Amino acid sequence: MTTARSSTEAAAPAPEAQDELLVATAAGDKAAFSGLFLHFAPRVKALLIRAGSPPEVADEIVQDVMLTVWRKAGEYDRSRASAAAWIFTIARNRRIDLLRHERRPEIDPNDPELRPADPEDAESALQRAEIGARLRDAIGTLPREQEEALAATFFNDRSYGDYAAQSGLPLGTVKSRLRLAIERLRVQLKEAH
Amino acid sequence: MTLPRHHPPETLLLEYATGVLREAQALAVATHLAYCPDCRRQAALLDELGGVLLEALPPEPLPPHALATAVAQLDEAAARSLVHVPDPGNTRECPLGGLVVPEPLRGYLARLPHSSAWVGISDGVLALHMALGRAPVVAEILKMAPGSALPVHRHSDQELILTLQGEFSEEAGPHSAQGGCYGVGDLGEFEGGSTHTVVAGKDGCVCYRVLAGPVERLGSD
Repeated sequence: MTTARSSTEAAAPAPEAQDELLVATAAGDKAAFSGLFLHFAPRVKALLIRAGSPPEVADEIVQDVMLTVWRKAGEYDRSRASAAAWIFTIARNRRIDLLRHERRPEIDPNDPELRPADPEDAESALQRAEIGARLRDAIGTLPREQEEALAATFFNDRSYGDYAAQSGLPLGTVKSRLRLAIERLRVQLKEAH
Repeated sequence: MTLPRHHPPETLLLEYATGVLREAQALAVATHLAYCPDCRRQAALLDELGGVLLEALPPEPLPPHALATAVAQLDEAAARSLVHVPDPGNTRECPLGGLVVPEPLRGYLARLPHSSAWVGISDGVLALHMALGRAPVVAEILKMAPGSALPVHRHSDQELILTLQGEFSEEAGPHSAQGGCYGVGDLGEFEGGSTHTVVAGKDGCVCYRVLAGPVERLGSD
């Protein structure tokens, strides 16, 4: 399985290069879009399959997600999110819309009613670009059961209760593992600063 | 302008980030985010975590022409995004009068049908039904007169209350956690099975409330 790495894998763009591809996509650059597609579309498909979509349905949603990336690229702000996080949110929102027929309520970042953040906050001073790298490191240090709970939560469109029932764990245990995982990631982001 | 003191628990923010939270509950969390820069930062961090986990997934092969199919549709997709769709929202007078609330709740209120009306649910308490989610979920705006109270009740499932104006105090029943005071932007999560009362402050309050399951009134005197 690991012997046949595709050529697109070898050319996987680094996170900052991904951000640049997305910015270029916003300017109408189809080659940049193709670069994003080759990297992210197979991963979005993997996410959808883990969430329970049959492969053919996943292929259709992947097309929808990537065309939404093209259409909405102008809204991307690299100071707020990495390309990977932004594409994750597009995939999540399309999934909610297409499979559940619900809206996704979100803040409007330009809403004058938004309470401003305190500019002196240490965590917000952390460069956005560093957050992804530190998160990757921090995830590697999580105890296995916390990492599993986190991955199951992100990729299965199920409530904690379903996950608890399926894994045979009490709901309280699942919730506390998740709380511990998030707390630990947050502490590590602060310490690394 | 004070910042919120009552925040969604970590696990609720996580459910919002992963998308598993249903629309009515997600609306309470998202509108709290507009009031709360701390939780906003936390939510952005969880989105980044989603991005990191997406990156780490082993790629699934796509059909051979997947990229070509997408590229062939790009011009049409771009043209479609330029078509201006007028927001039908602003045609309705805000049901909260002069009270301006942040997005996304503001848009939801603007899209409420003209037929929706305030209904008295107990002494001094009016409710505006939001028609979000399927029964038994109830999503509504509550307008509570100064000092008015929701009768002591026990809910079978989670209750979320987001304060939009004024404040309320929540008094725990014998089987739930300690009570507290909830001002503008505060989000209270009360778990299923808990028994409590909600009393409006001296200036009354306006809240968005979601009940995930039926409510049982206790002591109807």
